[in-house]
Amino acid sequence: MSNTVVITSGKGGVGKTTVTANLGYALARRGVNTLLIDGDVGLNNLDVALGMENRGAYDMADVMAGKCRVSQAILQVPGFPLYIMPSAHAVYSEQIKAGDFRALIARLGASFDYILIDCPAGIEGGFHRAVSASEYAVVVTTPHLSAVRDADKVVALLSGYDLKGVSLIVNRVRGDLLARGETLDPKQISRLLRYPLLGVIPEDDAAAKAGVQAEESSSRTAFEMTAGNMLTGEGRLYDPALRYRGFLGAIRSRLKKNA
Amino acid sequence: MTGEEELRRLRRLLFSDKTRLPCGFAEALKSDLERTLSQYMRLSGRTELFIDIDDRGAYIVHISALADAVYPCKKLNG
Repeated sequence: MSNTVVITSGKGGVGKTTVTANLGYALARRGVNTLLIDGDVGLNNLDVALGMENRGAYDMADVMAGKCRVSQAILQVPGFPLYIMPSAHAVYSEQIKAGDFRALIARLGASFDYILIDCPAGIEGGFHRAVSASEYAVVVTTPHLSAVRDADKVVALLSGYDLKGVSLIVNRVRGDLLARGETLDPKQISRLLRYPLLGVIPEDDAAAKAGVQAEESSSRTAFEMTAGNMLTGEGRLYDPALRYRGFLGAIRSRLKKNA
Repeated sequence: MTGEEELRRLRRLLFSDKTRLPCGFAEALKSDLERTLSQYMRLSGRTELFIDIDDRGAYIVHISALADAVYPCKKLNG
């Protein structure tokens, strides 16, 4: 039986889909059989984040409509035990019922170690559909007031669901600002929202250019640590400010500020 | 804006979202507390008031005020 985790946020644009894709990669690199499901019906982009767009003939809606077998709508990312079930781009979100979605996830549970569901932004029907099919929730936020405020609303809503655990990922943390005390500290965000940090992901130009398969990037290291926390609960967090501390760090920080 | 200022703003935002206190509640409370304090001492600086919620949902009122003199004890009206 798999662990089903919904990746949600409330506010759009905080990097939820990117987090889902990178976390999926990080789990798969550890040999964990992982399925990513795009819960963002109609506005799906998880396939694009993985570089797997236009690869499949079928999607989630086709499975639910009985047009194909489940296995026909699942694509494997080459070289990894990582799979994706693309969402439906040609149907409206309301056409995918929460009960049908839950039944599909339950059916897939036997074949994977982890199922990550990329939840749509907002707290409408799509949110309910994705959360009600999950056992765990990860709330993604950035260290910005509007994003944390929306994350707070989402964690309040999540308390109404029968979840085994809720944790936070603070994404796009700028190490230079953190070192200078000019941005919200992820640990402060965790204390305010009263949920534990699963991961801290730095803002990373290299990863932004190269995508999810960027080698030797700071965000990749951070996702590796986050995946480790998911699997073992070890609680290791990436420190984006580390390279901006000390003498050399101060020079880096100054250069970044002037860039 | 510094991280500390952002944190203060965030605390206030989350607090007002959670409690749904009417707009101006903190100002009204601050004004009343200032009036009371000024019967005991001569206030000389800006009074700061901040309301928070602890983990159990109880309200914590933080107030800081500066005074440069304390009045002799007197019987209060009423």
